Amino acid sequence: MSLIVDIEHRLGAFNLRCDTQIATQGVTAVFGESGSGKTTLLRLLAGLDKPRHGSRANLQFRDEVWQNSQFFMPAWQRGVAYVFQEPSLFSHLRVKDNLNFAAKRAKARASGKGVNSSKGHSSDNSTIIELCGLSDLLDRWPATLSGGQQQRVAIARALCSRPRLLLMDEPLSALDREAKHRILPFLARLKDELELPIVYVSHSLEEVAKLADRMMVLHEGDLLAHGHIENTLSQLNLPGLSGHSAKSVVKARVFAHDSDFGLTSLSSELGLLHIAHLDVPVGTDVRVAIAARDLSLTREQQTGTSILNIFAADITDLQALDESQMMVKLTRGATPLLARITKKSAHLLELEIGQTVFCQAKSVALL
Amino acid sequence: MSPGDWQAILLTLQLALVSTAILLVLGTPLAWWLARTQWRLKFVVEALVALPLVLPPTVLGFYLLVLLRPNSWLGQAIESVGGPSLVFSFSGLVIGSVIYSLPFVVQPLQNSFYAIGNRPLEAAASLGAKPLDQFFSIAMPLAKHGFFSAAVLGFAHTIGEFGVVLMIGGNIPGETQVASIAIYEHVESLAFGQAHQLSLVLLGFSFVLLAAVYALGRGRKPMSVFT
Repeated sequence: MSLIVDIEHRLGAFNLRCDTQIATQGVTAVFGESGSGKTTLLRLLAGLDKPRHGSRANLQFRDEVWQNSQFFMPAWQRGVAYVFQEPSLFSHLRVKDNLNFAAKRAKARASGKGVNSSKGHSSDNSTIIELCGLSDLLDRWPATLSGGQQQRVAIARALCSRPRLLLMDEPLSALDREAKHRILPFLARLKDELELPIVYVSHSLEEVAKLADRMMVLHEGDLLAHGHIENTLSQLNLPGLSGHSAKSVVKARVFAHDSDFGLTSLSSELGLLHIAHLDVPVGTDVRVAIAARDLSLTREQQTGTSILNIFAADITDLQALDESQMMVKLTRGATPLLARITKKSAHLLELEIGQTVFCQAKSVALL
Repeated sequence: MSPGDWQAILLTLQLALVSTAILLVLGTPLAWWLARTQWRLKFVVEALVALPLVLPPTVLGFYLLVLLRPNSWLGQAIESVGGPSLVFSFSGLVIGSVIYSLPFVVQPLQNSFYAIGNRPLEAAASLGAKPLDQFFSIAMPLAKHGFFSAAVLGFAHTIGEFGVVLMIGGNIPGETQVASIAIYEHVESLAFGQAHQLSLVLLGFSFVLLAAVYALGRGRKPMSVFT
Protein backbone atom coordinates (compact mmCIF):
# COMPACT_ATOMS: atom_id res chain seq x y z
CA MET A 1 0.00 0.00 0.00
CA SER A 2 1.49 3.27 -1.07
CA LEU A 3 0.99 6.57 -2.79
CA ILE A 4 1.54 5.97 -6.48
CA VAL A 5 2.94 9.01 -8.22
CA ASP A 6 3.32 9.48 -11.95
CA ILE A 7 3.96 13.10 -12.78
CA GLU A 8 5.21 15.00 -15.77
CA HIS A 9 4.63 18.64 -14.96
CA ARG A 10 5.72 21.55 -17.13
CA LEU A 11 6.08 25.04 -15.70
CA GLY A 12 7.68 27.23 -18.34
CA ALA A 13 11.18 25.91 -18.89
CA PHE A 14 10.98 23.79 -15.76
CA ASN A 15 9.91 20.19 -16.04
CA LEU A 16 9.18 17.96 -13.06
CA ARG A 17 9.35 14.25 -13.78
CA CYS A 18 8.52 11.84 -11.02
CA ASP A 19 7.41 8.24 -11.34
CA THR A 20 7.58 6.41 -8.06
CA GLN A 21 5.72 4.99 -5.10
CA ILE A 22 5.81 6.79 -1.77
CA ALA A 23 5.45 4.61 1.31
CA THR A 24 2.35 5.29 3.38
CA GLN A 25 4.13 4.77 6.64
CA GLY A 26 7.00 6.58 8.29
CA VAL A 27 8.66 9.73 7.06
CA THR A 28 9.71 10.15 3.46
CA ALA A 29 12.00 13.12 2.96
CA VAL A 30 12.04 14.97 -0.33
CA PHE A 31 15.54 16.41 -0.54
CA GLY A 32 16.99 18.79 -3.08
CA GLU A 33 18.33 22.29 -3.63
CA SER A 34 15.92 25.16 -4.09
CA GLY A 35 14.44 25.04 -7.56
CA SER A 36 14.64 21.27 -7.71
CA GLY A 37 10.86 20.89 -7.73
CA LYS A 38 10.24 19.81 -4.15
CA THR A 39 7.43 22.23 -3.40
CA THR A 40 5.91 21.71 -6.85
CA LEU A 41 5.72 17.99 -6.14
CA LEU A 42 4.19 18.52 -2.71
CA ARG A 43 1.53 20.92 -4.01
CA LEU A 44 0.55 18.45 -6.70
CA LEU A 45 0.22 15.71 -4.09
CA ALA A 46 -2.00 17.97 -1.97
CA GLY A 47 -4.19 18.96 -4.91
CA LEU A 48 -3.34 22.64 -4.44
CA ASP A 49 -2.11 22.88 -8.03
CA LYS A 50 -3.70 21.36 -11.07
CA PRO A 51 -1.41 20.22 -13.86
CA ARG A 52 -1.89 22.45 -16.87
CA HIS A 53 -2.33 21.59 -20.46
CA GLY A 54 0.42 19.28 -21.67
CA SER A 55 1.22 18.09 -18.18
CA ARG A 56 0.28 14.84 -16.58
CA ALA A 57 -0.27 13.84 -12.98
CA ASN A 58 -1.61 10.47 -12.00
CA LEU A 59 -1.96 9.98 -8.29
CA GLN A 60 -3.39 7.08 -6.37
CA PHE A 61 -3.39 6.89 -2.59
CA ARG A 62 -3.72 3.28 -1.46
CA ASP A 63 -6.76 2.09 -3.46
CA GLU A 64 -8.24 5.56 -4.00
CA VAL A 65 -7.62 7.47 -7.22
CA TRP A 66 -6.81 11.13 -6.51
CA GLN A 67 -6.09 12.27 -9.96
CA ASN A 68 -5.76 11.06 -13.53
CA SER A 69 -6.38 12.47 -16.98
CA GLN A 70 -10.16 12.53 -16.46
CA PHE A 71 -10.49 13.05 -12.75
CA PHE A 72 -9.26 15.55 -10.18
CA MET A 73 -10.08 15.20 -6.52
CA PRO A 74 -9.98 18.67 -4.92
CA ALA A 75 -7.64 19.31 -2.00
CA TRP A 76 -10.43 19.42 0.56
CA GLN A 77 -11.47 15.86 -0.24
CA ARG A 78 -8.06 14.21 -0.07
CA GLY A 79 -7.65 14.08 3.68
CA VAL A 80 -4.17 15.49 3.31
CA ALA A 81 -2.90 18.15 5.69
CA TYR A 82 -0.28 20.59 4.52
CA VAL A 83 2.16 22.44 6.75
CA PHE A 84 3.56 25.39 4.85
CA GLN A 85 6.94 27.07 5.19
CA GLU A 86 5.24 29.98 6.93
CA PRO A 87 2.75 29.02 9.66
CA SER A 88 -0.24 30.38 7.69
CA LEU A 89 -2.54 30.48 10.71
CA PHE A 90 -5.96 32.06 10.41
CA SER A 91 -5.28 35.48 11.92
CA HIS A 92 -8.92 36.12 12.80
CA LEU A 93 -9.14 33.03 14.99
CA ARG A 94 -7.54 32.32 18.35
CA VAL A 95 -5.20 29.34 18.65
CA LYS A 96 -7.93 27.05 19.95
CA ASP A 97 -10.28 28.09 17.15
CA ASN A 98 -7.59 27.44 14.58
CA LEU A 99 -7.42 23.90 15.96
CA ASN A 100 -11.21 23.59 16.13
CA PHE A 101 -11.52 24.71 12.53
CA ALA A 102 -9.58 21.62 11.51
CA ALA A 103 -11.19 19.27 14.02
CA LYS A 104 -14.74 20.26 13.05
CA ARG A 105 -14.16 19.58 9.38
CA ALA A 106 -12.41 16.30 10.13
CA LYS A 107 -15.45 15.22 12.08
CA ALA A 108 -17.80 16.23 9.28
CA ARG A 109 -15.72 14.31 6.77
CA ALA A 110 -15.58 11.22 8.96
CA SER A 111 -19.33 11.19 9.63
CA GLY A 112 -20.05 11.91 5.97
CA LYS A 113 -18.15 8.82 5.02
CA GLY A 114 -19.63 6.77 7.83
CA VAL A 115 -16.20 6.35 9.37
CA ASN A 116 -15.94 6.15 13.10
CA SER A 117 -14.04 9.35 13.82
CA SER A 118 -12.61 8.10 17.09
CA LYS A 119 -11.09 5.07 15.49
CA GLY A 120 -7.39 4.89 16.16
CA HIS A 121 -7.19 8.15 18.07
CA SER A 122 -9.09 10.05 20.69
CA SER A 123 -11.83 12.23 19.28
CA ASP A 124 -10.79 15.45 20.98
CA ASN A 125 -7.75 17.60 20.48
CA SER A 126 -6.31 17.31 23.96
CA THR A 127 -3.70 14.72 23.04
CA ILE A 128 -2.47 16.86 20.18
CA ILE A 129 -2.50 20.02 22.30
CA GLU A 130 -0.39 18.28 24.91
CA LEU A 131 1.94 16.73 22.37
CA CYS A 132 2.54 20.10 20.76
CA GLY A 133 2.84 21.91 24.10
CA LEU A 134 0.06 24.39 23.39
CA SER A 135 -1.97 24.23 26.62
CA ASP A 136 -0.93 27.74 27.68
CA LEU A 137 -1.40 29.29 24.26
CA LEU A 138 -4.98 28.28 23.44
CA ASP A 139 -6.53 31.70 24.08
CA ARG A 140 -3.83 33.66 22.31
CA TRP A 141 -4.14 35.34 18.91
CA PRO A 142 -1.71 34.02 16.28
CA ALA A 143 -0.11 37.45 15.86
CA THR A 144 1.05 37.41 19.50
CA LEU A 145 3.02 34.16 19.16
CA SER A 146 6.67 33.68 18.27
CA GLY A 147 7.57 32.07 14.96
CA GLY A 148 8.32 28.75 16.61
CA GLN A 149 5.06 28.78 18.55
CA GLN A 150 3.10 29.64 15.43
CA GLN A 151 4.64 26.75 13.52
CA ARG A 152 3.79 24.40 16.41
CA VAL A 153 0.18 25.58 16.20
CA ALA A 154 0.24 25.03 12.45
CA ILE A 155 1.48 21.48 12.96
CA ALA A 156 -1.12 20.85 15.66
CA ARG A 157 -3.83 22.26 13.40
CA ALA A 158 -2.75 19.92 10.63
CA LEU A 159 -2.91 16.97 13.05
CA CYS A 160 -6.37 18.02 14.29
CA SER A 161 -7.70 17.53 10.78
CA ARG A 162 -7.00 13.79 11.23
CA PRO A 163 -5.15 13.58 7.93
CA ARG A 164 -4.38 10.35 6.16
CA LEU A 165 -1.15 11.89 4.95
CA LEU A 166 0.80 14.83 6.33
CA LEU A 167 2.76 16.99 3.91
CA MET A 168 5.37 19.34 5.35
CA ASP A 169 7.11 21.92 3.20
CA GLU A 170 10.32 22.99 4.96
CA PRO A 171 8.41 23.70 8.16
CA LEU A 172 11.57 24.81 9.96
CA SER A 173 13.18 26.95 7.30
CA ALA A 174 11.49 30.20 8.35
CA LEU A 175 12.57 29.77 11.97
CA ASP A 176 15.71 31.00 13.68
CA ARG A 177 18.36 28.54 14.77
CA GLU A 178 17.18 28.32 18.34
CA ALA A 179 13.55 27.65 17.47
CA LYS A 180 14.70 25.09 14.95
CA HIS A 181 16.59 23.16 17.58
CA ARG A 182 13.56 23.15 19.82
CA ILE A 183 11.12 21.96 17.16
CA LEU A 184 13.29 19.31 15.52
CA PRO A 185 13.20 16.93 18.53
CA PHE A 186 9.49 17.64 18.79
CA LEU A 187 8.99 16.52 15.19
CA ALA A 188 11.02 13.39 15.87
CA ARG A 189 8.76 12.60 18.82
CA LEU A 190 5.68 13.29 16.73
CA LYS A 191 6.87 10.85 14.14
CA ASP A 192 7.37 8.15 16.77
CA GLU A 193 4.04 8.66 18.49
CA LEU A 194 1.76 8.98 15.49
CA GLU A 195 1.04 6.35 12.96
CA LEU A 196 0.85 8.90 10.22
CA PRO A 197 2.72 8.86 6.94
CA ILE A 198 4.63 12.11 6.44
CA VAL A 199 6.20 13.54 3.31
CA TYR A 200 8.79 16.05 4.48
CA VAL A 201 10.37 18.50 2.07
CA SER A 202 13.73 19.89 3.11
CA HIS A 203 17.06 21.06 1.82
CA SER A 204 18.68 20.48 5.20
CA LEU A 205 20.59 17.23 5.47
CA GLU A 206 20.49 17.57 9.25
CA GLU A 207 16.68 17.47 9.34
CA VAL A 208 16.46 14.69 6.80
CA ALA A 209 18.98 12.49 8.60
CA LYS A 210 17.17 12.99 11.87
CA LEU A 211 13.61 12.42 10.74
CA ALA A 212 13.40 10.44 7.56
CA ASP A 213 13.01 6.71 7.08
CA ARG A 214 13.12 7.06 3.33
CA MET A 215 14.49 9.72 1.11
CA MET A 216 13.79 11.04 -2.37
CA VAL A 217 16.42 13.16 -4.06
CA LEU A 218 15.20 15.71 -6.61
CA HIS A 219 17.51 17.64 -8.88
CA GLU A 220 16.29 20.13 -11.47
CA GLY A 221 12.97 18.35 -11.66
CA ASP A 222 14.35 14.83 -11.93
CA LEU A 223 13.96 12.16 -9.29
CA LEU A 224 17.52 10.87 -8.92
CA ALA A 225 17.06 8.47 -6.04
CA HIS A 226 14.39 7.11 -3.74
CA GLY A 227 15.04 4.54 -1.06
CA HIS A 228 15.87 3.86 2.56
CA ILE A 229 17.68 6.75 4.15
CA GLU A 230 20.92 4.87 4.92
CA ASN A 231 21.24 3.67 1.36
CA THR A 232 20.24 6.91 -0.31
CA LEU A 233 22.51 9.02 1.89
CA SER A 234 25.47 6.83 1.01
CA GLN A 235 24.91 6.94 -2.73
CA LEU A 236 27.75 8.67 -4.44
CA ASN A 237 27.21 11.24 -7.16
CA LEU A 238 24.01 12.66 -5.76
CA PRO A 239 24.02 16.45 -5.76
CA GLY A 240 24.12 17.92 -2.31
CA LEU A 241 25.08 14.66 -0.67
CA SER A 242 28.63 13.87 -1.71
CA GLY A 243 30.38 17.07 -0.71
CA HIS A 244 31.39 18.51 2.61
CA SER A 245 28.15 17.52 4.35
CA ALA A 246 28.17 13.83 3.35
CA LYS A 247 27.29 11.58 6.23
CA SER A 248 26.15 8.07 7.09
CA VAL A 249 23.15 7.30 9.25
CA VAL A 250 23.37 4.31 11.59
CA LYS A 251 20.43 2.80 13.44
CA ALA A 252 21.31 1.79 16.97
CA ARG A 253 19.82 0.92 20.34
CA VAL A 254 20.89 2.13 23.75
CA PHE A 255 22.82 -0.76 25.29
CA ALA A 256 24.25 0.52 28.55
CA HIS A 257 25.23 3.64 30.45
CA ASP A 258 28.75 4.10 31.76
CA SER A 259 28.37 6.60 34.56
CA ASP A 260 32.08 6.51 35.46
CA PHE A 261 33.06 8.10 32.19
CA GLY A 262 29.76 9.79 31.30
CA LEU A 263 29.29 7.67 28.21
CA THR A 264 26.47 5.69 26.71
CA SER A 265 27.12 2.64 24.58
CA LEU A 266 24.89 1.75 21.68
CA SER A 267 24.53 -1.59 19.96
CA SER A 268 24.45 -1.45 16.18
CA GLU A 269 25.45 -3.41 13.15
CA LEU A 270 28.84 -1.76 13.44
CA GLY A 271 29.29 -3.21 16.91
CA LEU A 272 29.23 -1.21 20.12
CA LEU A 273 29.43 2.55 19.62
CA HIS A 274 30.28 4.96 22.42
CA ILE A 275 28.81 8.42 22.59
CA ALA A 276 28.42 11.10 25.23
CA HIS A 277 25.90 10.25 27.92
CA LEU A 278 22.31 10.06 26.69
CA ASP A 279 19.48 10.61 29.09
CA VAL A 280 17.24 7.84 27.74
CA PRO A 281 16.48 4.35 29.06
CA VAL A 282 18.37 1.27 27.91
CA GLY A 283 16.63 -0.30 24.92
CA THR A 284 15.61 2.99 23.27
CA ASP A 285 16.05 3.11 19.50
CA VAL A 286 18.22 5.99 18.36
CA ARG A 287 19.98 7.13 15.21
CA VAL A 288 23.49 8.40 14.95
CA ALA A 289 25.32 10.10 12.14
CA ILE A 290 28.95 9.76 11.19
CA ALA A 291 30.24 12.47 8.91
CA ALA A 292 32.27 11.17 5.99
CA ARG A 293 35.10 13.56 6.90
CA ASP A 294 35.22 12.10 10.43
CA LEU A 295 35.75 8.51 9.30
CA SER A 296 39.35 7.44 8.74
CA LEU A 297 40.51 4.08 7.45
CA THR A 298 43.34 1.75 8.50
CA ARG A 299 44.51 -1.57 7.05
CA GLU A 300 45.21 -3.10 10.49
CA GLN A 301 43.26 -2.54 13.65
CA GLN A 302 44.96 0.23 15.57
CA THR A 303 45.75 -0.05 19.23
CA GLY A 304 46.92 2.71 21.45
CA THR A 305 44.62 5.25 19.87
CA SER A 306 42.32 7.73 21.56
CA ILE A 307 39.53 6.87 19.18
CA LEU A 308 36.85 4.72 20.81
CA ASN A 309 34.70 3.76 17.88
CA ILE A 310 36.57 1.37 15.63
CA PHE A 311 34.92 -1.26 13.47
CA ALA A 312 35.61 -3.32 10.39
CA ALA A 313 33.80 -2.80 7.07
CA ASP A 314 34.10 -3.85 3.45
CA ILE A 315 34.90 -1.40 0.67
CA THR A 316 32.17 -1.41 -2.00
CA ASP A 317 33.08 1.62 -4.08
CA LEU A 318 35.76 4.23 -4.56
CA GLN A 319 35.10 7.54 -6.22
CA ALA A 320 37.20 10.62 -6.85
CA LEU A 321 35.63 13.85 -5.58
CA ASP A 322 38.16 16.35 -6.87
CA GLU A 323 41.92 16.61 -7.43
CA SER A 324 42.90 15.53 -3.97
CA GLN A 325 39.88 13.98 -2.26
CA MET A 326 38.02 10.78 -2.71
CA MET A 327 34.95 9.13 -1.23
CA VAL A 328 35.12 5.51 -0.08
CA LYS A 329 31.87 3.65 0.24
CA LEU A 330 31.83 0.77 2.69
CA THR A 331 29.33 -1.59 4.17
CA ARG A 332 29.00 -3.52 7.37
CA GLY A 333 26.01 -5.86 7.28
CA ALA A 334 23.23 -3.76 5.79
CA THR A 335 24.69 -0.48 7.03
CA PRO A 336 26.40 1.61 4.35
CA LEU A 337 29.14 4.05 5.34
CA LEU A 338 31.01 6.87 3.68
CA ALA A 339 34.59 7.91 4.35
CA ARG A 340 36.21 10.92 2.76
CA ILE A 341 39.96 10.56 2.52
CA THR A 342 42.77 11.94 0.37
CA LYS A 343 43.72 10.27 -2.87
CA LYS A 344 47.20 9.96 -1.51
CA SER A 345 46.01 7.91 1.48
CA ALA A 346 44.00 5.64 -0.76
CA HIS A 347 47.09 5.10 -2.87
CA LEU A 348 49.40 4.45 0.10
CA LEU A 349 46.91 2.03 1.69
CA GLU A 350 46.37 0.33 -1.68
CA LEU A 351 42.62 0.40 -1.14
CA GLU A 352 40.48 -1.58 -3.53
CA ILE A 353 36.90 -2.78 -3.79
CA GLY A 354 36.17 -5.90 -1.76
CA GLN A 355 38.85 -5.22 0.82
CA THR A 356 38.06 -5.29 4.53
CA VAL A 357 39.44 -2.31 6.41
CA PHE A 358 39.07 -0.80 9.87
CA CYS A 359 37.12 2.42 10.25
CA GLN A 360 37.90 4.91 12.99
CA ALA A 361 35.06 7.31 13.70
CA LYS A 362 36.43 10.50 15.21
CA SER A 363 32.95 11.55 16.24
CA VAL A 364 29.56 9.91 16.36
CA ALA A 365 26.68 12.33 16.68
CA LEU A 366 23.24 11.57 17.96
CA LEU A 367 20.52 12.60 15.54
CA MET B 1 -36.52 72.58 7.25
CA SER B 2 -39.75 72.09 5.39
CA PRO B 3 -41.61 68.76 5.38
CA GLY B 4 -40.63 68.47 1.74
CA ASP B 5 -36.96 68.68 2.65
CA TRP B 6 -37.33 66.04 5.34
CA GLN B 7 -39.07 63.84 2.84
CA ALA B 8 -36.18 64.30 0.41
CA ILE B 9 -33.64 63.35 3.08
CA LEU B 10 -35.65 60.31 4.08
CA LEU B 11 -35.94 59.22 0.47
CA THR B 12 -32.22 59.70 -0.02
CA LEU B 13 -31.40 57.49 2.97
CA GLN B 14 -33.89 54.90 1.78
CA LEU B 15 -32.37 54.86 -1.68
CA ALA B 16 -28.84 54.60 -0.27
CA LEU B 17 -29.76 51.76 2.06
CA VAL B 18 -31.54 49.68 -0.54
CA SER B 19 -28.82 50.30 -3.13
CA THR B 20 -26.04 49.42 -0.68
CA ALA B 21 -27.74 46.18 0.29
CA ILE B 22 -28.17 45.18 -3.34
CA LEU B 23 -24.61 46.27 -4.15
CA LEU B 24 -23.14 44.11 -1.40
CA VAL B 25 -25.09 41.09 -2.57
CA LEU B 26 -24.13 41.56 -6.23
CA GLY B 27 -20.71 43.09 -5.69
CA THR B 28 -19.31 40.41 -3.38
CA PRO B 29 -19.38 37.49 -5.82
CA LEU B 30 -18.26 39.82 -8.63
CA ALA B 31 -15.32 41.11 -6.58
CA TRP B 32 -14.43 37.57 -5.45
CA TRP B 33 -14.45 36.36 -9.01
CA LEU B 34 -12.35 39.32 -10.21
CA ALA B 35 -9.84 38.79 -7.43
CA ARG B 36 -9.35 35.11 -8.19
CA THR B 37 -9.97 34.47 -11.87
CA GLN B 38 -7.10 33.83 -14.26
CA TRP B 39 -9.30 34.65 -17.23
CA ARG B 40 -7.29 36.72 -19.68
CA LEU B 41 -10.26 38.92 -20.63
CA LYS B 42 -11.03 39.89 -17.05
CA PHE B 43 -9.76 43.43 -17.76
CA VAL B 44 -12.86 43.97 -19.89
CA VAL B 45 -15.09 43.29 -16.91
CA GLU B 46 -12.88 45.44 -14.68
CA ALA B 47 -13.13 48.33 -17.15
CA LEU B 48 -16.92 47.98 -17.31
CA VAL B 49 -17.17 48.03 -13.52
CA ALA B 50 -14.93 51.11 -13.35
CA LEU B 51 -16.80 53.05 -16.06
CA PRO B 52 -19.06 54.98 -13.65
CA LEU B 53 -15.90 56.44 -12.09
CA VAL B 54 -15.14 58.44 -15.22
CA LEU B 55 -18.39 58.65 -17.14
CA PRO B 56 -20.49 61.80 -16.65
CA PRO B 57 -23.50 60.62 -14.64
CA THR B 58 -25.75 62.19 -17.24
CA VAL B 59 -24.40 59.81 -19.86
CA LEU B 60 -25.14 56.85 -17.64
CA GLY B 61 -28.58 58.25 -16.85
CA PHE B 62 -29.30 58.93 -20.50
CA TYR B 63 -28.53 55.36 -21.55
CA LEU B 64 -30.59 53.99 -18.67
CA LEU B 65 -33.46 56.21 -19.71
CA VAL B 66 -33.23 54.97 -23.30
CA LEU B 67 -32.98 51.38 -22.15
CA LEU B 68 -35.79 51.43 -19.58
CA ARG B 69 -38.38 53.76 -21.18
CA PRO B 70 -41.75 52.06 -21.73
CA ASN B 71 -41.43 51.80 -25.52
CA SER B 72 -37.92 50.29 -25.50
CA TRP B 73 -37.55 46.51 -25.94
CA LEU B 74 -36.57 46.12 -22.30
CA GLY B 75 -39.40 48.36 -21.15
CA GLN B 76 -41.81 46.35 -23.29
CA ALA B 77 -40.48 43.11 -21.88
CA ILE B 78 -40.90 44.34 -18.30
CA GLU B 79 -44.38 45.55 -19.04
CA SER B 80 -45.39 42.25 -20.68
CA VAL B 81 -44.59 40.36 -17.47
CA GLY B 82 -46.60 42.88 -15.50
CA GLY B 83 -43.62 44.79 -14.13
CA PRO B 84 -43.85 48.47 -13.24
CA SER B 85 -42.49 51.22 -15.39
CA LEU B 86 -38.95 51.88 -14.18
CA VAL B 87 -38.43 55.41 -15.40
CA PHE B 88 -39.44 58.20 -13.05
CA SER B 89 -39.88 55.68 -10.23
CA PHE B 90 -38.02 54.70 -7.08
CA SER B 91 -37.16 51.27 -8.58
CA GLY B 92 -35.54 53.03 -11.52
CA LEU B 93 -33.46 55.12 -9.11
CA VAL B 94 -32.28 51.97 -7.36
CA ILE B 95 -31.15 50.45 -10.66
CA GLY B 96 -29.35 53.63 -11.58
CA SER B 97 -27.68 53.91 -8.17
CA VAL B 98 -26.52 50.31 -8.19
CA ILE B 99 -24.75 50.81 -11.50
CA TYR B 100 -23.47 54.25 -10.54
CA SER B 101 -21.96 53.10 -7.23
CA LEU B 102 -20.78 49.66 -8.37
CA PRO B 103 -17.04 50.49 -8.54
CA PHE B 104 -17.15 51.96 -5.04
CA VAL B 105 -18.26 48.62 -3.67
CA VAL B 106 -16.47 46.19 -5.98
CA GLN B 107 -13.02 47.80 -5.80
CA PRO B 108 -12.51 47.84 -2.03
CA LEU B 109 -13.84 44.29 -1.86
CA GLN B 110 -11.62 43.12 -4.70
CA ASN B 111 -8.60 44.77 -3.06
CA SER B 112 -9.21 43.17 0.29
CA PHE B 113 -9.72 39.76 -1.33
CA TYR B 114 -6.40 40.26 -3.12
CA ALA B 115 -4.76 41.20 0.15
CA ILE B 116 -5.82 37.95 1.80
CA GLY B 117 -3.92 36.02 -0.83
CA ASN B 118 -4.23 32.36 -1.66
CA ARG B 119 -2.47 30.96 1.36
CA PRO B 120 -5.24 31.05 4.01
CA LEU B 121 -7.63 29.51 1.49
CA GLU B 122 -5.15 26.78 0.60
CA ALA B 123 -4.62 26.07 4.28
CA ALA B 124 -8.39 25.86 4.76
CA ALA B 125 -8.77 23.57 1.74
CA SER B 126 -6.09 21.23 3.01
CA LEU B 127 -7.94 21.09 6.33
CA GLY B 128 -11.06 19.89 4.54
CA ALA B 129 -12.98 23.13 3.96
CA LYS B 130 -15.10 23.21 0.80
CA PRO B 131 -14.99 26.30 -1.44
CA LEU B 132 -18.11 27.98 0.04
CA ASP B 133 -16.89 27.14 3.52
CA GLN B 134 -13.51 28.70 2.65
CA PHE B 135 -15.29 31.86 1.56
CA PHE B 136 -17.60 32.26 4.53
CA SER B 137 -15.28 31.11 7.32
CA ILE B 138 -11.98 32.51 6.08
CA ALA B 139 -12.25 35.06 3.27
CA MET B 140 -15.22 37.03 4.61
CA PRO B 141 -13.96 37.54 8.15
CA LEU B 142 -10.47 38.37 6.90
CA ALA B 143 -11.94 40.92 4.47
CA LYS B 144 -14.25 42.53 7.03
CA HIS B 145 -12.62 45.95 6.69
CA GLY B 146 -13.08 45.72 2.95
CA PHE B 147 -16.78 45.05 3.48
CA PHE B 148 -17.05 47.99 5.83
CA SER B 149 -15.34 50.34 3.39
CA ALA B 150 -17.42 49.03 0.51
CA ALA B 151 -20.67 49.53 2.39
CA VAL B 152 -19.82 53.05 3.56
CA LEU B 153 -18.46 54.19 0.21
CA GLY B 154 -21.39 52.70 -1.69
CA PHE B 155 -23.81 54.35 0.73
CA ALA B 156 -22.10 57.75 0.70
CA HIS B 157 -21.65 57.78 -3.03
CA THR B 158 -25.32 57.02 -3.59
CA ILE B 159 -26.25 59.92 -1.36
CA GLY B 160 -24.16 62.23 -3.54
CA GLU B 161 -25.80 61.06 -6.74
CA PHE B 162 -27.37 63.75 -8.94
CA GLY B 163 -27.05 63.36 -12.69
CA VAL B 164 -28.33 59.82 -12.97
CA VAL B 165 -31.30 60.63 -10.77
CA LEU B 166 -32.12 63.70 -12.76
CA MET B 167 -32.12 61.74 -16.02
CA ILE B 168 -34.14 58.69 -15.07
CA GLY B 169 -35.93 59.79 -11.91
CA GLY B 170 -36.95 63.29 -12.57
CA ASN B 171 -38.13 65.34 -9.64
CA ILE B 172 -41.26 63.83 -8.12
CA PRO B 173 -41.53 64.67 -4.40
CA GLY B 174 -41.85 61.54 -2.28
CA GLU B 175 -41.05 59.30 -5.20
CA THR B 176 -37.82 60.41 -6.88
CA GLN B 177 -36.94 63.77 -5.34
CA VAL B 178 -33.76 63.00 -3.40
CA ALA B 179 -31.83 65.58 -1.37
CA SER B 180 -29.41 66.59 -4.12
CA ILE B 181 -32.31 67.28 -6.47
CA ALA B 182 -34.18 69.20 -3.81
CA ILE B 183 -31.12 71.42 -3.27
CA TYR B 184 -30.94 72.04 -7.01
CA GLU B 185 -34.56 73.06 -7.04
CA HIS B 186 -34.14 75.43 -4.09
CA VAL B 187 -31.28 77.16 -5.88
CA GLU B 188 -33.28 77.36 -9.10
CA SER B 189 -36.06 79.12 -7.22
CA LEU B 190 -33.50 81.30 -5.40
CA ALA B 191 -34.41 79.81 -1.98
CA PHE B 192 -30.79 79.99 -0.81
CA GLY B 193 -31.65 79.57 2.86
CA GLN B 194 -33.31 76.22 2.30
CA ALA B 195 -30.53 75.14 -0.04
CA HIS B 196 -28.04 75.98 2.73
CA GLN B 197 -29.82 73.90 5.35
CA LEU B 198 -30.10 70.84 3.20
CA SER B 199 -26.54 71.16 1.89
CA LEU B 200 -25.19 71.44 5.40
CA VAL B 201 -26.97 68.26 6.43
CA LEU B 202 -25.46 66.38 3.50
CA LEU B 203 -22.01 67.82 4.12
CA GLY B 204 -22.02 66.89 7.80
CA PHE B 205 -23.40 63.44 7.18
CA SER B 206 -20.90 62.61 4.44
CA PHE B 207 -17.99 63.82 6.55
CA VAL B 208 -19.03 61.73 9.53
CA LEU B 209 -19.31 58.62 7.34
CA LEU B 210 -15.91 59.04 5.74
CA ALA B 211 -14.29 59.94 9.07
CA ALA B 212 -15.61 56.65 10.42
CA VAL B 213 -14.03 54.72 7.54
CA TYR B 214 -10.64 56.36 7.97
CA ALA B 215 -10.77 56.09 11.76
CA LEU B 216 -11.24 52.37 11.41
CA GLY B 217 -8.47 52.17 8.85
CA ARG B 218 -5.91 53.86 11.12
CA GLY B 219 -2.57 52.04 11.16
CA ARG B 220 -3.28 50.33 7.89
CA LYS B 221 -1.96 51.47 4.57
CA PRO B 222 -3.86 54.44 3.12
CA MET B 223 -7.11 53.37 1.60
CA SER B 224 -8.06 54.33 -1.89
CA VAL B 225 -10.90 53.14 -4.00
CA PHE B 226 -8.95 53.81 -7.13
CA THR B 227 -6.15 51.31 -6.60
